[in-house]
Amino acid sequence: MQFLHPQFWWLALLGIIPVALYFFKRRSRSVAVSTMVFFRWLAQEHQESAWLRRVKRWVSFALTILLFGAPIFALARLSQAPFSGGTRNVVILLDRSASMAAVDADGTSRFDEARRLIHARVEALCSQVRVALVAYDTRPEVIEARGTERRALLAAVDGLSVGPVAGDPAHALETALTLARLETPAEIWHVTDQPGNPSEPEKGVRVVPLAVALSAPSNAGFTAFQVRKEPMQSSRFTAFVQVAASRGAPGPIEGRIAGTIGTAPVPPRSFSLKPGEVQGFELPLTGVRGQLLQLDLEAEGDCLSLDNTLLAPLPESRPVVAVRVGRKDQVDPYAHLALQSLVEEGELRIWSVQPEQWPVPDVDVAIFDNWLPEQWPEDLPVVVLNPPGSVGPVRARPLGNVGLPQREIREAQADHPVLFRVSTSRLALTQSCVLDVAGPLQPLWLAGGEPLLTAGTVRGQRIVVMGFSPRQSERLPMTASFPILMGNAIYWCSESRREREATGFGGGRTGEFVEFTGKEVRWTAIRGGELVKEVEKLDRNVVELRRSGVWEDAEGQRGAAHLLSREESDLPVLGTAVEAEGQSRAFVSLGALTGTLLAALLFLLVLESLLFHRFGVY
Amino acid sequence: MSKAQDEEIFDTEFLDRLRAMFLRLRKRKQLRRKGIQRSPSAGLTREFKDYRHYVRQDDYRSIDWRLYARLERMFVRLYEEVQEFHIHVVVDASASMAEPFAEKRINALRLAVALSYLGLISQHRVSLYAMRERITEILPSQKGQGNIQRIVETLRSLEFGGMTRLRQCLGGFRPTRQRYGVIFVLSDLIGQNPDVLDDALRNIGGWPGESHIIQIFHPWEQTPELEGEVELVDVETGEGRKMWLTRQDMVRYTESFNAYLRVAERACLSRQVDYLAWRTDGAFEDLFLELLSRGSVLAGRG
Repeated sequence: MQFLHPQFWWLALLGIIPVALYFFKRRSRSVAVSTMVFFRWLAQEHQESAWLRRVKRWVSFALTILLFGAPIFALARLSQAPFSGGTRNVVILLDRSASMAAVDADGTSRFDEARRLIHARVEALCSQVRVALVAYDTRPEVIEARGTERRALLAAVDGLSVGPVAGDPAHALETALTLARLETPAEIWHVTDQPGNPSEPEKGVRVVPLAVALSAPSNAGFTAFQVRKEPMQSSRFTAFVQVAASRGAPGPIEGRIAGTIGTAPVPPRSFSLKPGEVQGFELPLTGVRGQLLQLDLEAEGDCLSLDNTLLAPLPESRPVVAVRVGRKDQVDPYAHLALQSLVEEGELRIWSVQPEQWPVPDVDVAIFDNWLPEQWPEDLPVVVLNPPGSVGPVRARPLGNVGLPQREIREAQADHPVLFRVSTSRLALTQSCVLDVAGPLQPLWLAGGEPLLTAGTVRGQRIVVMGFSPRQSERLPMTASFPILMGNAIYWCSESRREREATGFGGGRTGEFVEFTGKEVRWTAIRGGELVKEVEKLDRNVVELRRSGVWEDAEGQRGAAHLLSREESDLPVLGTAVEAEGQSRAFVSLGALTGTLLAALLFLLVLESLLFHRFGVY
Repeated sequence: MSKAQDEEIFDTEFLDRLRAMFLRLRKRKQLRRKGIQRSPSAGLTREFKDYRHYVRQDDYRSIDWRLYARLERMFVRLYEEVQEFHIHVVVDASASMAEPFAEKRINALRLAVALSYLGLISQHRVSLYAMRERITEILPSQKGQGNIQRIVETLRSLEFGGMTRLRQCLGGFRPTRQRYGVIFVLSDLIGQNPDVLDDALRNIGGWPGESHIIQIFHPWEQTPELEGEVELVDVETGEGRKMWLTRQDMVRYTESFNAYLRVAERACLSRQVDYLAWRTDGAFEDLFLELLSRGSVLAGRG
């Protein structure tokens, strides 16, 4: 029990009036009578004996005091608050991640439930306790600083909404702890759908989880998405989507994936997922670059809609531009032939330059043919053919002009993309240098224990190093494996770069930051099943993606952002936090005693009226 | 205890009014004759009253032989019997007769004086009694008009106080049987237990002679004007009681009081005891004449 507005206790001074009236009221008039007989007869009818009258008088006095006390208690907000005693600081940590948008059978979202819970607890909180509001998804945001202004706080709570953004509670809890430490003892009300137990991470700060999860959430949602253009085929794309079912689903989830490209429908795909199961789908698509692809997931009993829609433009694929750098007299003619055979208009362009012209801008891949720059390009994927020395991540020691013939080539990683459809069964190579694989480069081909082909990622850039000379190799240039190997190497190296371009600057997940140009971003999103266009004003260039849909900035750069979070789609089940939830609900029902006190006041008034006017108790 | 200190009770004006009233009474036929009162029964005086047929066991000496000689039938002569009455005046001297309404005491004392005066001038014996917890004689029987002053003095010195115990008083009172008694009880008949009223009045039926109950009450006692919170104090017992009274309570009180009066009247009439409810706001002469006109031997009945 505690009083939420103890300042109203000053009104208790008004109670002096009935007390004074009770103790100092005018003495009753004394009347001498000849006999008490007839008055005693009256007493037998409705007057009581002396002790009963005294008791009733005390009761009457007590009722009068209660008549004053009940409204004062009501104004002072007597509450059965389950808070630990002496809490002076409360930090409300409100989860506004995507999973909080899950709705129950009544259509009430978890966020609405969280707001209701916060309202009830804040209204039942002592007015002298300072409260701060922190909302979080990927990042925490202090919505309301510590203060005692409840109205603004609750208005801020009501103004919040759930976005299609994944949550990071650990990071947010650190922020809440920082605020809680400002004044202890403090409580952190972690209002979330994630399970949790009350804890005390440090002395004076208590974390109270207020779980608002559903008891048996059924949800299936997209957790991964990528659209690629089919190589060497115009207007053909493949969409890869991953669908996950929530582990708390009461049974298998039946559903289907359908969509449109522009106005043309995408052939639907049905699925049946067991609780917790994840399934990937490849959807062949036909469309024109720039057309909007919309994919919708429909599942029975689905609780969360934020992960059910994907919207992305078909990728603007441009040809891969590779530059071959090498001295004219030292370039490998067979390598040149292989590269020329790969050139396809619209798919691959290969430029040949002299070392003096290096560096070359606006290329996707650099091919160093028997040459290495003095300074390694750290922002460009590189294919190194027959390195003459060591620069950057390439560590090689040339073997001279003769080389070392190798007839038995062994694949160290046969499933590596660089070796896709490359046969080593009849290869014979001439090793031109000894490669050092101590770094991030992993051997793909080995011959006699020596690596001939290595690949890896260094500082985000893919590198393929070939330690052999096609010109000196007998059977390599004449086989189809070498052009395929070169093509694989070029595509693999440029893949990450092209993916970034295809999905936008940030990679296509909400909650990430993107650098825009201009003062606004135009969004194309789905609201209520309809495509809508919205404009987001920018006050800075780097903006967090908080919407789901397709964006386009002033320079025409386009991208897409989606939730795509396994953690958010896997809706938590109300389990371990049942006790905390029960406490919350019990608190909501019992905490606010204002109504009870007002009802008691009405009852007292009726009782007083009866005693005074019907039974004449004074 | 309070005494009858106020001289106006027996002032000259009252006594003059009393004499005038008795003059009016003597004009009545029954009171024309001076001296002692004739008894309704036949006696042995020299005053011839009537004849009647002789029956066996009659005293043959009372046969009128002359009339026998003339009519050849035997008649006996009847003579009037003249009897001296004994007037017992019982005055309730409890506290409730004096407080809170002195009018009750004044009326009781004046009535006692009037009755005594009437008895003395009619050559009867008059005795005075005080009734509290029991009835005690405060003045032995007196005879002759000259004793009226003694009676007045006795009543003037009568102290009022204490409680009335009706059953003990009326049950323990034994008026003398030497003479025909006329007993007047002047009381408010208010005891501590109203349920014993009927039982107490039953004793009156055993008293020799005729009995009169004059219940004296103040109009306020019948219709008190009380409302709100009052602390009632019983003047006899000193018992205090706080009550919150409403008009409805007062109506019920009056009903109870009237019912008590009716019980007293019914109890008296059922035992052939005269009963008179005496409101102190009534005219004394009217009430006194009404009392006498009810057929008392004192007023020359029969």
